[in-house]
Amino acid sequence: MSALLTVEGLVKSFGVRVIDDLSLSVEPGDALGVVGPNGAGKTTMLNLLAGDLSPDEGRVLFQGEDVTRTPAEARCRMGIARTSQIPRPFEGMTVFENVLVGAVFGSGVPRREADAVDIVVSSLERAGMLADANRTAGSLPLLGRKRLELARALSTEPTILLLDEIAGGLTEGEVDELVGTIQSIHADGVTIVWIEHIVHALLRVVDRIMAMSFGVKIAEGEPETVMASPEVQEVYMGVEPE
Amino acid sequence: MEWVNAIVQGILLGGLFALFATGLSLAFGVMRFVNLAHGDLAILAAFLAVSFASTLDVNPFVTMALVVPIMAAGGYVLQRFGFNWSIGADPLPSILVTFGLAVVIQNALLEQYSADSQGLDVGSFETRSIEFTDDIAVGWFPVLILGVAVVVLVGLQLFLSFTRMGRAFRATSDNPSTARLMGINDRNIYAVVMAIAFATVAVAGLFLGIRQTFGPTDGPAQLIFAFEAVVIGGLGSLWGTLLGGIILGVAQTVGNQVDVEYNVLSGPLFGHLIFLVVLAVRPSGLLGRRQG
Repeated sequence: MSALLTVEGLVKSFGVRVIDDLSLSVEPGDALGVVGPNGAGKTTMLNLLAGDLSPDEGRVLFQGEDVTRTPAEARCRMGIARTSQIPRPFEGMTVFENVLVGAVFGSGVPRREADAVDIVVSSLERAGMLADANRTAGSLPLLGRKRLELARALSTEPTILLLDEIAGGLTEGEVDELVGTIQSIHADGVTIVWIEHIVHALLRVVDRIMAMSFGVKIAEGEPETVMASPEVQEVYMGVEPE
Repeated sequence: MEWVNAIVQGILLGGLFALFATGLSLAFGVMRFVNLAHGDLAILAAFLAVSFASTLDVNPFVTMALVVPIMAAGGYVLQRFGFNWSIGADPLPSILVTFGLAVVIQNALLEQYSADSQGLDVGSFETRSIEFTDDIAVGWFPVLILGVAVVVLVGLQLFLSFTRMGRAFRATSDNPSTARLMGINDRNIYAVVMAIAFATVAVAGLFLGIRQTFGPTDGPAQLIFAFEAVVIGGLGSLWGTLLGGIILGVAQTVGNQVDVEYNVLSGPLFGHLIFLVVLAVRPSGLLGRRQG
């Protein structure tokens, strides 16, 4: 089986190397968790995958196609969706309109607004946002904004969903709800790459974890094995080796 | 009754200002783009109309069918392959680039058409009017201008509110990087915005050329009125632009009425004063969103 998303020797530097020779492969249906301390380059990696940034070196392949220089909007239409760590809704538009824009422009299938309504409603429903459809996005509380990020990403009918600390800043109860939503999205066949600090939330969804530190992959594999490995304990949990 | 007449004429004049300001308002609203060549583009459109009217021997109104699409296409190309490089959080690059363009347009027009004043002649329509009383007569042409301005601004507002493309405009205006993540090509959106801006300013330029004589360096004066209309009404609000244009128009005609002999207070000066008052009292404009 060929990989859905492949990253080969990715390098990105902003003065210092934020991503340093990173390689990664994600199979269709995978749920990959990404952990690492702040500044490890996790969000930069996601930006490189989504097309917000282009790498200095290396390649990004999606469904066997080289998308290293493909702009974000084209990657979105190919099936790569992402949510942002700090939700970035279209504040002046309603929740419905926010998702409508994704369904009309983001799925890669040109469609009229009238034909997109079904997708909008189902995306809102899956993200648990249907009740808020007519609210202005700018008036949403944090959980609502996070859910809107999810609904918008779903409206583009993604093959792979990149989540950037979507559980960050939420209460325990809210995290639980959101994990349930993400589990069901994964169960529907959407491949997931999820950056998260809240490890227990991550462990309920992902079947593989990659740990990063200073732009380098330091461990990858079974979640329990990776989290227990000395490298991860040292850089991520702050445990000093003897 | 003179005063009533002044106000009526001011409202009609405001239509022209609003039409001038439409493109400026739209470009700023969607992409925070300040176009200092806006007035010169209007004059350019008027000169194009002069050329077409004489070579094709047609009424200047007819030339609109050529000038408006040409200007719109020019706006698209210029934005797509030029202005887009200057768009960003900082408005300064766009100001510099369009300032340069303004100089280029003025000098190209001087080179091509000389410094002589030109006019667009549409025959008797220009002066035909309906008389309501002895003091109040309303010209058909100013009514036409105001009507076009209202149709253009209302049409654009409806387009932004209810169409697929309009929603993409608003989404891009709200947050360009998120818009890209939703599959919207923001650079294309900006180019379409500029095409619309150029088309509307071309119409305004033609109306100006019919209304009065104009020369290659008259653009900046028109730019000031357009800016004032946008700022009075509120940055980024199309309804505000219509209102701002009308307020500016009324201020100018009433100003002329106050001092008929232009000793101290000419109409434009009165308009500038109103503009300054709005800027001081309500910097975000009458209908503009307050800056958070």
